[in-house]
Formats: sequence, structure tokens, C-alpha cells
Amino acid sequence: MRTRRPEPHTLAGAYALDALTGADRARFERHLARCEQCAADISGLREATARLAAAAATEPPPGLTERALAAAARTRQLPPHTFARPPRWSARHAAAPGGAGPAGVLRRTWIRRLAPALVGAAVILAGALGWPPAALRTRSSRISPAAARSPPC
Amino acid sequence: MRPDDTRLTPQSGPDGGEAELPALLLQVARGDGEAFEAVCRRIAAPVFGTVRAVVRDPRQSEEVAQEVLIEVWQQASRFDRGRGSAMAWVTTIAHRRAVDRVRSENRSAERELRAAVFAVAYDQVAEEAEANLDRERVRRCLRSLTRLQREAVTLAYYGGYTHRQVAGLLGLAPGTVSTRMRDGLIRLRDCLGVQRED
Repeated sequence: MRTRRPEPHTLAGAYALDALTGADRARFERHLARCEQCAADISGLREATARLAAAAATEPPPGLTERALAAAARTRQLPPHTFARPPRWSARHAAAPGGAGPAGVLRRTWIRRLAPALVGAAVILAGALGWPPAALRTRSSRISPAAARSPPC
Repeated sequence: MRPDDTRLTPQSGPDGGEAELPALLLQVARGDGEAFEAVCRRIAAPVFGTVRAVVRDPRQSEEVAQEVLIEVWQQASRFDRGRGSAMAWVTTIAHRRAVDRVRSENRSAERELRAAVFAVAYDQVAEEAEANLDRERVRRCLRSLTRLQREAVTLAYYGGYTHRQVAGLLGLAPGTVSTRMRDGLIRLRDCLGVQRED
């Protein structure tokens, strides 16, 4: 049933219920990365879903904890996220509690991964557009070969 | 860090010690196996109950619940108490893993899920769950929602359905369903008094 797309803001409940998938989820996470209020909303709604979870509490099968302990003993733990400055409050918290796809982290990773490519593209584009201008290039090479080799500032 | 004065021991009683979970997770993040055991004893029942509500099959539920506990061990350093309660952090991991499991398995069995739709209504989940304070409060608060809000929330949470699947099941537009989910959860949150204080 594809109808008019709802405002991203109205998807907060569905997101907190893990009821968004694929493009719906990606779209909401993009919105979330820019919307601090949404992130705060999600946080509050997750406290409500935690109570839904608590209400379903059921005695686990015997040995579950013991097996988890044994598995943990041979499982390496992940290091904390480290940020040069405090992360934007929003998406990292709201998206996922741990590594399962925090949008903020993904966003940063995405930017970091793309950064070299962007720089490369900029250099190629600059070359294509003739920067530095040919006149400048020839002049500097005439002045001194060393100067021509040194990176432009 | 001085492990001697920060080591915490499990409290008696199933609901005791939620206040200590964040401190325990901090210990777990440093590789403290005893703290992890204490955490497991506190979270195993809500984790298993949530996973089973969604996954249904007992054997698979146990597998997924164990994966959740291991994920808590692995990710403990990434829990940030300033951004939500420890239990919300844990149960979000549990629910997400549970829906991931059913969605990867049930792509072709969606019709079958459709037939089983109201089997996952809250009453059944509640019947299977242990009697506890949360269960009674949640039951009472769910009753304060409109019928559509309640169905939208419980089908998504306990049924593990996407908002588009819920829309199909209820014969409504997805936009209507997402609005019901949001309004329903807000009402539930307010009724349960779990609004964050910051």
C-alpha cells in the first residue's frame, strides 16, 4: 500500500518499535541525524518499549546464563566509541544502543570513508578546470624547479 | 579502578537492582565476568520473554536470547547511561535481534504470519509471562489506548511486524498506522510514567 509518504516525524513510534525497514528506516534515520527533538522523543519511547519487554519477562531455559558466560569468556569485547569531541546527541543514541547500526556512527564512518574520495575528486576536478591556472604553473616552474615541486598553499 | 569497592553482587528478587545495572555494565565493559553474571541474572527474563514473544519457537528463542547476552557483553562499553536506562538499552538490543531473526526467516512465510496475527496479542504474551508488577501496569496502561493504537503497538512490538505489515493486517494506510504507533507509545509512556527527566 504505497500512499502519500508521511512526515518523517510521525515515524518515531514505528522506529522505536523496530517496525521500520529498508528505505523507510533509512529515511527516518537521515531525519533523526538532523532532529535533536526526535532523538529525545525516541529515547522516551524506548523507555516505554522497555516496559513492554519487562512485561513479557519469562523464566529463561535452564543454563542460558551459564552458556552466555562461557561464550563471553571466549569473546572479545568491543572498545568504546571514541570521539574527538562529544558526538551529536541525536542519532547515535536514538538509532541503536550498541553498534547494531547507530546512525551517528554510520554517518561519521561514511564521511571518513568518503573523505579521501572527495579530496581525490576535488583534485581531479581542479585539474580539469585548470587550477592552478596554467599561467601560474608555468611562472612558478620558471622561477625555480624546487618551488614548482613544493605543494601549493 | 578499584574492583574491591565497586564490585556488586546480585540482589535477591527478580526486580531488584535495576538501579545497579548501569554500574554493573560499567564493570562488564572492563571485562568483569562476575559483573556480567550479575547482569545476566537481571536481564535474562525480560530478554528471553521479549525474544520469545516475537520469535515464538522456543529453541530459536533461546539461541537469539543467548546472542543478545553476548552482544551485551561485547557492547557494554558503548552503553551511555546519560542517554537512556540500562534496561532500555538491553531490551532494544533484544527486540532488534528478535525481529531481525523473524524477518530473515519469514520472508516467504509472511502469509503464515498473517494467519497467526492475533495470536500475538498482548493477552497471550501476558499469559506466558511471569506475574510481575510491570505486567500488571503495562496491561492497565495498554487498556487506556484506543483499540487501533493498542493493536498497532502490540503487533509491532510483540508480533515483530513492520509498520507496513501492520497496515496490511489492520487494513489501514501505513501513514495512519505510524501515527497510531507514535500516539499509542506516547500515551503508554505517559501512563507508565517513564518519561525521562532530563
